[in-house]
Amino acid sequence: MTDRPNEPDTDAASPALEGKSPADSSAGPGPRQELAAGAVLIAASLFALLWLIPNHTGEAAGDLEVAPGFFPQIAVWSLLVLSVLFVGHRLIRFPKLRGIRPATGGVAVLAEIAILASASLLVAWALGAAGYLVVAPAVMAAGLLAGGERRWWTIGLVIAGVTAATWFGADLLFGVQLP
Amino acid sequence: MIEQLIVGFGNALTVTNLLFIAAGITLGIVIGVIPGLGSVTALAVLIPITFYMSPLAAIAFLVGVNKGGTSGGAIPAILLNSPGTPEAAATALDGHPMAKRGEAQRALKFALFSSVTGDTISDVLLIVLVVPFAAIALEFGPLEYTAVLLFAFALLSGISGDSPIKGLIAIAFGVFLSTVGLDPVDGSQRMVFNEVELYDGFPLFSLAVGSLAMASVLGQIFELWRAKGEKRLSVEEYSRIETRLPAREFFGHWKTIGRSALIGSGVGMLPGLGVTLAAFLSYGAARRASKEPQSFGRGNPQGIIATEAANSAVVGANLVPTIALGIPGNIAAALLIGAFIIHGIVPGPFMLTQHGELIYALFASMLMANGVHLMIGRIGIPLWARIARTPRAIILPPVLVMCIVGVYLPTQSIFGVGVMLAFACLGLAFQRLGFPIVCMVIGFLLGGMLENSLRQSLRLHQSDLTAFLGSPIALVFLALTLFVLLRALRRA
Repeated sequence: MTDRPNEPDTDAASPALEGKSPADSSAGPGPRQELAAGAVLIAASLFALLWLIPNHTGEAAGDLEVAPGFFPQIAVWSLLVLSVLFVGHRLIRFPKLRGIRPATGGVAVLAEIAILASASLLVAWALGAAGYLVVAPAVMAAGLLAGGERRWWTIGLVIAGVTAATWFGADLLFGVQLP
Repeated sequence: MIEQLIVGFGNALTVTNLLFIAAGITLGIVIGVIPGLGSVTALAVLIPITFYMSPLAAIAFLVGVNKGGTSGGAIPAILLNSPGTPEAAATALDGHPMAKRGEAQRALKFALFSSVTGDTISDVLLIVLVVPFAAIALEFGPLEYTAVLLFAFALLSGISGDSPIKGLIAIAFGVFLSTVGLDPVDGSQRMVFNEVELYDGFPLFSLAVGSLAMASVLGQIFELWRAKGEKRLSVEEYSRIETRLPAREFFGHWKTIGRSALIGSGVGMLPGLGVTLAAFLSYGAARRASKEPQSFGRGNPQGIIATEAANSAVVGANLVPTIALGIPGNIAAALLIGAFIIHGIVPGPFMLTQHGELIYALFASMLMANGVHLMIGRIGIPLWARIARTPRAIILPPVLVMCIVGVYLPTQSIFGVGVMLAFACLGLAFQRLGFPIVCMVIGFLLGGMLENSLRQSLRLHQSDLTAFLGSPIALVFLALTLFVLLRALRRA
């Protein structure tokens, strides 16, 4: 079996970068993307350690009890140390990994996340404001069109069928009125 | 014990009981197929229906729902790379690549047969071990739990494909996310920004469905968008699709089946460790034991066997602490305890003496349910496999909507849907950057337990960490943790 470069890979199964020649493309991220991710993680850890945890957790309840911020701090310190190690490891190996082409370019990843974040905000707002009967067809129509479906009768049938089935199914089977 | 089991079969082998088991398994599979509505939701929703059943029929029905729901999650994992349940995420790693190369039916058969075999082995272990287990589990205190959880995290980091450090980062991030909410000891606010709906922390369903199912579906839709549609298989390519799975080929993997069933049973017997952990521990163990570890994640059937045999083995095994100690092995077992109580049975050590006949009838029902599960699952496979021929562009958007409905149904809160959407963004970013999102979800799941056991240990031993050295069990697990981490880092 061969990997197709533009096929989505599963989360934990990205093939090892090690052993690939610089000209190889990868189903995983490129080294620059990994370094950028490591830098974001370090910044987020520092933000949590210096501002979030000190300002948004309380004091210890008694002498024998540890402070509520104790365990989050352990988690974030672990995250910080691991992120630094990760960036260090990737920097050391950078000359070897430099030529690997990522499956999805850095700009494409950022664009995907930005589109998704905006759409998520819109969906969450519209679900409360306009309701499920507006949001579900809109989400499905966007998904069908983005996926390359152009037959209007298929789009109409899927939207009407799934919206009706979930709306009445939630009510009849679970007694829940969707928003 | 054999005599009691024979009496149990005598009580359980009725047409009504078999029908309830079949109905439970069918409903479990159907609900497990829908992302977000796994066996836990199915159990929660269906428990009220059992009010009017006899205690045996009710518990057998719910056990059927649990079995069906656990294995049902594998169907969308294999066909759509969109696990219906968190524990099925590992099934997708090898199941979906098999489906993509035209072996969807074989992958579904591997999943079903492994699930039923793992379940049967676990049920037998339950029957044999339920009494002696009580004695061993009582030896585990907070120190031992802390060490076991750290060991579990070390093992999990090894499943992170190319980089264990990415797995550890994802776990640490998940553990941090688990600390949001009210402090478990004094109830003070932790990073909740006065948001009442965050007092209980991030909703597990929303986090899991968003980061696992929805992120995966969205990732696939983006891929289709970039590729400008999907390449359809031609008639000739369909004619080459392999669907057969001879019994000899399946049982040729007996080592993986046995190992995974034992891992699932072991994890199931330890309260709270859960199905997802069993699935990933077993997957990691199968990968380490394989002569071709690089083939995992690319359609190796052993990946499906390891996951499905282990997660189904938890279903039976988690009744060991439930029945022996009254402590639920996981959320599903906690719901079953609720059902026991509704029917006037108090779980715990006295259950076997006071309701022995019913318990052995339940054991018999569980064994019979495995046969029923095999039949129902086998009949359904061609039906599910037809879905694989449907273009992903048509299948994926309805899954997005089902994720929204699935998260809204149990909580009836738009906040939960918002959290799911936020974690879908995060999940997609993790996916694109090669961080194993499942490690984050497991870190989140087990983070609360790790915090509780660590804080209990510190309180019991006046913050003296050397107390770990005084517990031989904890010491062994800590040494194993160190060994596994060093080995993984050296490989990286």
